[in-house]
Amino acid sequence: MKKQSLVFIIVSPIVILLIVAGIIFVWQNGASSDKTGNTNKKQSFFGLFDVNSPIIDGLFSESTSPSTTNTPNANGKTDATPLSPLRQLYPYPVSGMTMVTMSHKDANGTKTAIPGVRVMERSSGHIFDIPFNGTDAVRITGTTIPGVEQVFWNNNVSRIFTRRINDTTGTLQNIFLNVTHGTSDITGTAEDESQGSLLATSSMNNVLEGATSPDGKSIFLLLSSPSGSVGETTFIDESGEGKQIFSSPFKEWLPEWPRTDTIYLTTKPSSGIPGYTYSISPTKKNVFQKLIGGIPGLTTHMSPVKGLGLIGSASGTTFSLSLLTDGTMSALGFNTLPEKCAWMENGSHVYCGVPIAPIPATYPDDWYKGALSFTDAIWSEDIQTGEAMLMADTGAFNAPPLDIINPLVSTDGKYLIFINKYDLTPWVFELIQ
Amino acid sequence: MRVTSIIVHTSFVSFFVFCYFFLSGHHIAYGFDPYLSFTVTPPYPGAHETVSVDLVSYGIDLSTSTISWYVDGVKKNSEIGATQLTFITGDIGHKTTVSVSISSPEGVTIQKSLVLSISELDLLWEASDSYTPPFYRGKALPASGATIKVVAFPNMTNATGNKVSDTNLVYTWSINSFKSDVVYQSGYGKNILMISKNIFDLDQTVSVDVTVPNSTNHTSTKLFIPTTNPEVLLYEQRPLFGVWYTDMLSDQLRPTSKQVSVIAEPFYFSLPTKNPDTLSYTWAMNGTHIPSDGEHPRIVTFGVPDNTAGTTSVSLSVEHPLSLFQSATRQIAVLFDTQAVMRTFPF
Repeated sequence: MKKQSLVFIIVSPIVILLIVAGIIFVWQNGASSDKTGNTNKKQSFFGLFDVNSPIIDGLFSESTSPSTTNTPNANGKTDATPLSPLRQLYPYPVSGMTMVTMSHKDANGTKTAIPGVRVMERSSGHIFDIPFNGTDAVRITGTTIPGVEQVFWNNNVSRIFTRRINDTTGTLQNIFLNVTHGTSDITGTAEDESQGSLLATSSMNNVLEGATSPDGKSIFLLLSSPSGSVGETTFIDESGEGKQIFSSPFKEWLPEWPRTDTIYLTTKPSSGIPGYTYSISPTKKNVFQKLIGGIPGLTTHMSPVKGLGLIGSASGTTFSLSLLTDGTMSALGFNTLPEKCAWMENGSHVYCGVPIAPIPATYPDDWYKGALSFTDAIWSEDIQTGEAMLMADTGAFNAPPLDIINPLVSTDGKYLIFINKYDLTPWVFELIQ
Repeated sequence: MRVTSIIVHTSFVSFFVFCYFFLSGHHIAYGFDPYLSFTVTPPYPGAHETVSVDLVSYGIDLSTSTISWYVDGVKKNSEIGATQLTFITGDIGHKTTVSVSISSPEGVTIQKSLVLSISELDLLWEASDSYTPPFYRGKALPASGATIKVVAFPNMTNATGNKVSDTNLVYTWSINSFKSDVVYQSGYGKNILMISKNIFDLDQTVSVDVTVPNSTNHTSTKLFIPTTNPEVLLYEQRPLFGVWYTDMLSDQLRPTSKQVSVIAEPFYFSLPTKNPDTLSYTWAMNGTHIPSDGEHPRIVTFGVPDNTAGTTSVSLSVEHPLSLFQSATRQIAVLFDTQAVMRTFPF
């Protein structure tokens, strides 16, 4: 055997082994920690686009604030691939979100208003504004309040009411906070930004439930009392005493405030147990008016239009959805839980996360307990014509499984935002594409 | 002999009356007489509700008679053998007069009417000491021994048509048709009933009869209260995020970090103070008792060993210190397979 051949035979396996070792090394170090404290899914070694990764993955810095990594171009889009109509807005769990209008400064320094969402990051309590145009999130506050379960926003998102469990004592903390804005905008340049903060102004220790008014100026709070519960409304912007609008020997109410002049109270649901909904006035004391009752497993989602709402019924292992129009119930073109739906402001359409092939279970109890999750498609129904339309099927736009909670439709009807119950991340679906 | 005759006669009449009301089930017969009576379903209709009125006679052959129905003086139907009328009620407080005129083939005409007072009566209940976690949107269900609060929500009017306050009505409560057990909770303005879920009578039916003082307005309703078994559910408690309530640990846990904490949530245990730490928690790993955090007995924390793969069984037993009938268990498998976790975790 020639000397060169011998060298080739000896060296070739070593080279191949080195290459393989290199591959393994690179592949293993592809994983990285994220802000959830967990480990990210590895990227494909060959750099192929991973269809299961969050659509805007990579727009955010993993180690610092996600606000300083990407600058929008002239048309307000990033240089990345076109935005998917259905996309994750932020890759980390949030405590809540609301619509917001952001200020966008272009290359010439001209400011324009663009739509987006304001979220509170669940792990930190930091507030971010995220535009729908795919540009970077902007950190609004840097005050740390981890583990907030619920956040209620006022109309100009300058004041919030948060609810969380104290890690040490296990008790509930209910706090009003002022959102002090910095000077940040979405140019993403550091010199434009000074960080805002959250300042606690008052707290309450007996809050059972809450709901904000449709104009965002007031909040309804259901408070525990020795004899049952009391309901109060208060202006979010003020730290004064709330105005009591009812007292009840009953505690288990779920409030909704879809119209300025009406608050709805629905008994907490359980499969097969008759539920009741009453309307009350935010201005008159102790005036309960029955809306509907005796419906097993009753859940509701009333619209901003008087007399219009969604009625959910659940018994045994099934649930059903009906449309309530001036006291008359009718079927919709799909079936889901009312709280997975969002109303257009004028009541013309409703948009819903609709579970595909939900497994037999005790609804809604098991879903509330986290014992199961749905895989939703997005449907709409035209209330006037009764036409139901599938807008995004399961897995559409390469989205992972979605279990839609807390959906909202923008005032202009262009965007549906929601939180994915699987990982509590915020999402948007463009209704007009 | 005379006394015996009276007793026999009285017994016969009582038996007849008993059978009549027993067989009528949920219906209430108005204008009870041997010849003609109405049966209204539902017996106490609410506002804008569909009501059926059935005509029953033991003396007239209705199937061959012409029956004319009137609601508030307006003729609604007139047919041979039309023994039922269905209509929709008006607003609360509205008194609806239903009249019927019967003409038999023999030429006999009988008229009869009833007045329905439209009122509403809802019975709401809550297991006031049943524990559910914070932010849980579902109903707290009662276990055996739980304390139940039943609240009557009436909407009734007086003779002048004005709404009568809840506190100005007379309530007569009964449990499983027995009034004596709760007689002290019945009376003027007593719209709340507190009962204990009897361990020997798991499924209770609560009834209430509500009347407007100095009025013929009267309504009643009843509800069935089931009994459930307490259950303990496990959730991951993540640093900074809090309890991950949206994803119950049903049968297994794949740790997503070097250290993982699991918290137990005891659903439906009777806890007047709503403090779940007052229950007794016994944790075990592969059958061996493991200590929980002394201050937080509901929480256990596991360290995940490096470069190991395997399964550990973790079990929990929860007992109520004061109630033998309230306990629950749960078991999950903890999978120590870091690589698998990396590939499957949704983030």
